[in-house]
Amino acid sequence: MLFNSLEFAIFFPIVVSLYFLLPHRYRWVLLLAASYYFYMSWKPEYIILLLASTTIDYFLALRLATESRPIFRRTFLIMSLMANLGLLFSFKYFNFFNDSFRTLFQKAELAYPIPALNILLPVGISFYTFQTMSYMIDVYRGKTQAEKHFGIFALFVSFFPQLVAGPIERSDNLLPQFYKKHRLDYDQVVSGLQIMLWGLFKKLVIADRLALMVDMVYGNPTQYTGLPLIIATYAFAFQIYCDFSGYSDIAIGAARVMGFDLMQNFRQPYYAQSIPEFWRRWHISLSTWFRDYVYVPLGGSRVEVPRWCLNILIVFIVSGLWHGAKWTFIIWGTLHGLFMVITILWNRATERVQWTLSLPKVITRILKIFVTFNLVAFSWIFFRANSLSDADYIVSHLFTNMGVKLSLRNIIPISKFEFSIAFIAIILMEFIHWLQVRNISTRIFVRDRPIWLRWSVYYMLVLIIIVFGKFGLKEFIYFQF
Amino acid sequence: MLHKLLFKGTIFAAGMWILLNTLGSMADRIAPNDVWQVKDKAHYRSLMNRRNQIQAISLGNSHSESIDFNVLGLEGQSLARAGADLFEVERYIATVADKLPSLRMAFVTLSYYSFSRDNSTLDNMRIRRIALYAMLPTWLPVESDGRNLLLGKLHAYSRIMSVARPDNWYNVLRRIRKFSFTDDPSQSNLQFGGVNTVTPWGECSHFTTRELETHSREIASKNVTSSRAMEKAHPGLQDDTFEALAETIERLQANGIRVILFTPPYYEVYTANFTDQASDIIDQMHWVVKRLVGKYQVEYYDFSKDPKLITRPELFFNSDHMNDCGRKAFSERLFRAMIETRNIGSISSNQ
Repeated sequence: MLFNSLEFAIFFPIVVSLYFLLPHRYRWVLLLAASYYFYMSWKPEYIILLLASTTIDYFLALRLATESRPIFRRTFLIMSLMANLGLLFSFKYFNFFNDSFRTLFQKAELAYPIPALNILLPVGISFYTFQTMSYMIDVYRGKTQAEKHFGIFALFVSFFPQLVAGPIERSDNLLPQFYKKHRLDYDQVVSGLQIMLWGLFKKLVIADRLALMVDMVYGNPTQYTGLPLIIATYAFAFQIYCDFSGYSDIAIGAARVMGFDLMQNFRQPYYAQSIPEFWRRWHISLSTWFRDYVYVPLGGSRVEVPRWCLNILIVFIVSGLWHGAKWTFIIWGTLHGLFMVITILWNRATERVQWTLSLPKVITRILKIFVTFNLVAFSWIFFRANSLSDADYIVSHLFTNMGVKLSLRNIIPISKFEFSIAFIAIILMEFIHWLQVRNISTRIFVRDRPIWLRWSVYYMLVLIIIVFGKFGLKEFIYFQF
Repeated sequence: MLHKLLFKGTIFAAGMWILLNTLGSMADRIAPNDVWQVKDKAHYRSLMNRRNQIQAISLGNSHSESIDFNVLGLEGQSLARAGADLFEVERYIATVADKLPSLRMAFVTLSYYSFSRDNSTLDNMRIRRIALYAMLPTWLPVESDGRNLLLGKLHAYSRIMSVARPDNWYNVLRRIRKFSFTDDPSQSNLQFGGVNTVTPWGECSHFTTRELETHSREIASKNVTSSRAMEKAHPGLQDDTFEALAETIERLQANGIRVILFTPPYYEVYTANFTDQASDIIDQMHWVVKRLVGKYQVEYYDFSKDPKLITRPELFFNSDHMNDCGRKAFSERLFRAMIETRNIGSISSNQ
């Protein structure tokens, strides 16, 4: 069930209505049932994996919490991590590693007997396994209490707004909220609906429209050179942002309608002035996860510089692998790791050098944003390309045939009308982002206007989505991870 | 709090409903989304306006438009719907059969791909199913098709699909910009120039032989591709379409209505192209028809290879649709065949 589907438009109001009609003590049952129904609407049998992960972590966390001997505590943690990583490996990475080994064996002219597994990747497996792993590690670290109520814990793992594509929540934020009695709050409902609308705008009007162009070019890159490849790459930068942040907005908004606060997942990432800043603004729930559970345990920045750089590279390679079992994702992660390392080394090297270049602050800021955005956009080539050879072709042909005069149709392979809508919508979105960067909340601004103006804005946004949205039920990109 | 939310929510929804209906009507007037929807509604309106007089109807996809009821001497109405599948035919009949007291005959078209079609399986065809639900006063969907029924009913009451248009209002805005609110000839269905010929059934415009050949290649390939995609998306499609048609026949026969199945004439090159690409689909169709005829004792007339019709370009609007002259010519031959084939439960092939 996609957030941009009719099913969800029926499902969500029913769940919300029942949620507020039910007494507090039964609400978790409703939310759990709704979450399982939501998940099973993709492929019912994969609920078994969700249940397995939930049950294993529930019991292991309880045992871990009551155990004082370090060796046993560590054993329970390792068992849990192995169970979750085992699920991930079997369903997401087995074929990748298997195929890679097969290629190696074939190159060495050796027989390789292990066949590929014919399985579909369960929706959201990377998200809920990471959420349960963070819970287990937090229990192990004593940062959070082991949850005794199985139903509440199951709900923490499967809470439908964020089940299939995050934000990856932390137990200390989400678990206590299931115990809190949420009252129907008009302002909260309106605010949640506003966020959902904004997410739908980004997904339906921008992301799915840009997808037309991106899919065309990246689906058959060898048909293009130069400008069309550059434009499609920039288009993908906005597509993936609008797709994923749109999903996160709908998830956060849906949860807020019911009184839950999910963590912010994006903060105008394309306004970042450096790659480290980009990662503080992009997919925040995942980057903080890697920071807390991989980077810091590896020693973080409190080690020698070479080790520090290695830690960063490890984190980003793993992050690339998290996104998908393909070499293109690993290269994408490695690239970001390298950008981070170069930034850190550059900053250290220039710490002691006084810059004499005296550009106005605003120009420096714009230049930094421009460079960062272009580095990110370049790395998206590897993220989006269907294969390494496609990525190689795109990178090597980005600036070829630039002198050849092409018709507009050849540069932008969608109609002028479609492109204009996408362009205007992106300008509108970036204007809102620009306001947000300046700490001007458009929602608060709208909220404080007279009702006729407020409602006009709401009607306008709904109509823009209906009139200019693409309703082909295109899945959210991050569902595949 | 709840009252405030309900009150404001209701007012907002009512405002939205007014806006959608206003914009939807405006868009439909300026540049209708699909010409076939306008035609479907006109057919249905005409049927309901004459419901006490209607003696015969023709059902199915656009190929069922090939009957001229005047030639048959019947008060009839074509309920042809472009791209309609047999599930939709079943729903249509289930909704209207009881409302037609004088109905005596129902002609159901069986095209080559009729048993390989389920519009709900393809995104670009789903709109046909949704439009049917929006048009008919029924709340019973085809099996497992509740989603489209809901969308159809939502559209019926809010015109939402006229606002959420696949062209994102491009055609509406273009016409507003040009101040042109009438049909633009360049937007007509005719892809080719066409010529006029005087025939024994009058003067009719039609495609040239070369245009018919080009069209037949394109349309045969399009029909085969979509049928294959639908078969892939709906395992057991042939059995399910058989059941849908069987249900239609049973319902009509239970009301004492004579059911006539027929395959209309196609320009010969269309059949040749279709056979080249998917002879199995045609074979399956004939096999299923045989089962139906045997089980329900219905008449079936196959004119798809009638040499007196299929070699004459002047009888075709395009390679798989007859023009006015063709409709008259075909109806005469069908009428004759119906008189000759008095024994019900027969397969008549005019080759």
